[in-house]
Amino acid sequence: MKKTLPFPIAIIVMTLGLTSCFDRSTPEKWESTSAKIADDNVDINSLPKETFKLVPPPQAPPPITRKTPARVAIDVEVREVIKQLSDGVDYTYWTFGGTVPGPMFRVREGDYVDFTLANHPSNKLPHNIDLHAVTGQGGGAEGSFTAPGHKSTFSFRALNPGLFVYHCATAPVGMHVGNGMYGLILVEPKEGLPKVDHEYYVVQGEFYTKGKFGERGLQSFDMEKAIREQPEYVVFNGAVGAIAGDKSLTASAGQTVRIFVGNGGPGLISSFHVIGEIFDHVYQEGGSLPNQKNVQTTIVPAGGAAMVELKVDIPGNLILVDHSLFRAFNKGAIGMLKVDGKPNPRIYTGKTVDAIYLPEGQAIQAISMDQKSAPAPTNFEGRMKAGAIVYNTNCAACHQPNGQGIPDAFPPLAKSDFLMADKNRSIKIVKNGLEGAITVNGKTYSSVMPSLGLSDDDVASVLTYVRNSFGNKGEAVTLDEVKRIK
Amino acid sequence: MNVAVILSLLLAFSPITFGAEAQLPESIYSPQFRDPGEVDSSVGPLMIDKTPVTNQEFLAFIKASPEYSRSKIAPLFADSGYLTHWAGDTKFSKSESHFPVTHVSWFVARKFCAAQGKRLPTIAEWEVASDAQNPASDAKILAWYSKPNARLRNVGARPANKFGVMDMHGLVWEWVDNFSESIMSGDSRGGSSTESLYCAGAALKAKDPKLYATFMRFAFRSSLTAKYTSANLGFRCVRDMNGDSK
Repeated sequence: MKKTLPFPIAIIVMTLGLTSCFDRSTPEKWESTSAKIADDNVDINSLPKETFKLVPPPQAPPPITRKTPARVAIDVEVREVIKQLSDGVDYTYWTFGGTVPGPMFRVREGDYVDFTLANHPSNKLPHNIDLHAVTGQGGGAEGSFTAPGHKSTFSFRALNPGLFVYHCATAPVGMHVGNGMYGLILVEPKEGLPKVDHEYYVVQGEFYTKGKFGERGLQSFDMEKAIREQPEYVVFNGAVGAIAGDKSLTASAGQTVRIFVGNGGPGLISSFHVIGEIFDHVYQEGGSLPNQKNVQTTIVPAGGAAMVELKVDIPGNLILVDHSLFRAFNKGAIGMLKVDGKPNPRIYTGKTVDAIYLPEGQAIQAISMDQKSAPAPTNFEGRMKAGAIVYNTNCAACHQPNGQGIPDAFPPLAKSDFLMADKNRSIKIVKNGLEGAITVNGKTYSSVMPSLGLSDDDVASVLTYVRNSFGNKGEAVTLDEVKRIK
Repeated sequence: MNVAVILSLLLAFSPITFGAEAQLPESIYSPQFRDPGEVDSSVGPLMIDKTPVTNQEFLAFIKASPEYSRSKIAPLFADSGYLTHWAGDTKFSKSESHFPVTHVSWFVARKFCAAQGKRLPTIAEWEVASDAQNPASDAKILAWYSKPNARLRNVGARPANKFGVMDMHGLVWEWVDNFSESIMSGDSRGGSSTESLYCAGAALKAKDPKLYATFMRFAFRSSLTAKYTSANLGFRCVRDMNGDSK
């Protein structure tokens, strides 16, 4: 078969080609911050040296005040440690620096980083690091691959500003990441980030334990659950409650807060949301542009990040969640930002009315389940009563509660010659449905009535009811008569 | 003290265990990671040490070849971690006599085996003798790999595998002769390969991408260089049936 693009698609393709924003026809015309830094000819050896100071999450390292690039040494130790995952539940975490997530790194666009990864001698496994901020083989994974009891150093130039994930990339990669080996590195743009009152560092990740959520004791990694991407735990900062209760993030009403949000994964995408506030600015996907305002929920991809900024206007406990809610409700994806300060009823009042609600028509009977399972009616009164319920549930929507039907659409049952003329025909229609034109009281209806799947008992009851309601008067329909009709 | 404990103690201190060999019959090695054109190979028959080499056995070697003692070893042949768990050139805690020797480099492990008329096993021989690439064993092994180092214990205290070999897992990693051929890249997101290293798609080259413990063993080997030493890395030797060592 000859393959050609359908006409509309061809048009779209052509249009896209013509409307590209940049002329990228030659390498010289490629506009990017990374290319500018890569070509700036800075003398690496003359850059001032400094050592990066690690702080544990949820602290973010302080903003960079330098206005020029530096040569920054970052030293991190990989440690395999047993820590609490939830109350009474321990887990063997593999960590950068002993915490999950690993410490957040913060450098400036144009900095030259000497990164040293030490693998503690008591560790069993080799490890390495892939920093998504690194332009280079494996993001540094190749240069940092290290056996237990050894250390490796590699260097890179921070070319692209933004918020990036780092993680271990040793096989089996998913297991290393799933055991906690991830964190964030911020490459601050040259001009810095706008000043805020608080900065916090929150990274989501999921854990695949052999035991179910909450099962006590030291839990081990479950490969099958991991491959199916069905974690028992989805948490912020490595453990249930890591940033809740007395470890909550804090701020005061009227202050500005920036959260560096990451998602280590390894499998799930986070729908990051703060209950009771709205993000004023979002740097989507951790890029360097605050490209969205007034956002409720922002997507944080596995192996990705976002920066969110919010002014907390009023006091209260703001809950951080992955809005894929079963993760929040059943798997631990909950954190808290406690905001103190004076209430402001001009923004939010809290509950102002608390009263009893009595809706009209509350007496209308509900169709309860036990009526359905009640013993089959045998006498006429029983059939009429049961039939009314079946009619209201299954028939009244079309034929109307008063049996009048709807002109030109649904034929009437009230005083219907078609209905009353042939009992067996009625049984057959209710049991099997009807399609095609019929004439009722001199008018033609061409419509479809589906088979309703009623029990034989219900068919007997509802037909007894319609044949003796809405001005109709006829014999009851018995169960035997219904059973005979196929 | 129950019978099982007594039996295992007897076994642990039985002189028969140390230095004893088991016979590995001729077997087929089907590599977990294959490069294009690589096929199954045949290993054995050969004699393999039932247990890893112990501190006591290693001491005998050091006494015979003092140039490999801690204070005399050339830096080219072992890093500064060499035998650091020993108190001196020929001293270690008596309770650790039958612990596997660790903190040894590939160079010295090789010399040790040669001195016995033996050699280090190849990857293929080790993998076959360990029965490790059998999915049932893999899951058990993974649990041990997942934990940080537990304390060492005497060799030969656990049941032997189907070849009569003990402690292939659950005690220490072991040097193999051609460890540097486990060409899992430093960025080991996939299998072993010289191509498409940077893509998880390389996992497709693995015979069974669920053999996580096997991935880890290959990743471990490829993180080594010949002079490395580590707190959880020991070795054992093999002997070819015709008596030659390669």
